[in-house]
Amino acid sequence: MAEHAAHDDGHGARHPRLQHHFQDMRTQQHAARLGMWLFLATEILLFGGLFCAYSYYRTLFPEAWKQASEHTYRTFGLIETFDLITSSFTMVMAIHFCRLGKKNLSTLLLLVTASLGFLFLVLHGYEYYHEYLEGALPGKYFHFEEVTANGAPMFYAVYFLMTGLHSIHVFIGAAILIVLAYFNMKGEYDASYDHPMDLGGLYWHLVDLIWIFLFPLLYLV
Amino acid sequence: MANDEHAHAHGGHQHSARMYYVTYLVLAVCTLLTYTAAQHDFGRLSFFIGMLIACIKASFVILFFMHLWDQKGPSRLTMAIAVLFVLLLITLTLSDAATRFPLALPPGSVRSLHMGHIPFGNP
Repeated sequence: MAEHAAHDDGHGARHPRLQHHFQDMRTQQHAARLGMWLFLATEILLFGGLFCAYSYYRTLFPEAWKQASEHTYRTFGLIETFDLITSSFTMVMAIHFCRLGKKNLSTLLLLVTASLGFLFLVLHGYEYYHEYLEGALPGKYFHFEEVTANGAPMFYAVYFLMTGLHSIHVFIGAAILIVLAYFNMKGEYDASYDHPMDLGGLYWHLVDLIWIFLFPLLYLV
Repeated sequence: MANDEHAHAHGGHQHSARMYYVTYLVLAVCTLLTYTAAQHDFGRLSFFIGMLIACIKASFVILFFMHLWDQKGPSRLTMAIAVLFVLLLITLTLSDAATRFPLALPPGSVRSLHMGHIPFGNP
């Protein structure tokens, strides 16, 4: 193993970021990525349970789903969708410029991505506030007069659980991005070592991925 | 396992951002499309149109933003299995709900015996 490690980057020197149990940087990145993908798979299964609950109650109460969906803030949903896809784009560009050695631009893009994440949370908080005022709430707290179909409280239970869990993920993702931006600014990452940014990016794209399904399912029934 | 992407194996200078721009454009157009489609009533087809567009968007994000286009092998397999299990979970649950004895369905729901107005789902 030691002789392999010595020829790790083709210049005869061992990369300072290479862990001793890995042969070279590519193997290390491969392992890190696979670990992240396994974690993302558990995240997909976590949300999968909620998507399953959604499908089940939608088939039981289709009328409630239609009525309640018409009372969601669709324009807000559209803006939030654009917000998240733009943030996904700035995320990949941050990694792209990091690999090209443009550290400051890359840091700036990471901060833009995190800001778009927080903007999403603000917009969603505004929606939640208005839904709270209208009484569009889950279970026994439901007292929204404009939606009268059977099972409407169930829609709001599913709505708040799905968007709530998603928003928690947006918050965690944005916090991770700020940490990444800090270390990137200090010059920790470059073309030969960008694994943390790579994995942070994967997490951020998953958040976007979930929202791609939540938007038509909740706002555009 | 042939998971290694050729582009950024040695510094990433050959790596092109072209597909990132294309993906962003596809995502933006698809978002507008799904929003516009929702303004019209296509009946039962509406759901499938919405899901089709969402799947196209998701594929672009997974393949290009998350780089599964270049990464073959275990990463792809992990993603595919996760999606497969979610689909299994949903289809098996829905086929259970669709074939139930009406008395076993919640009151106020479709096909249940209590079809009156029961806003809270309780009898």
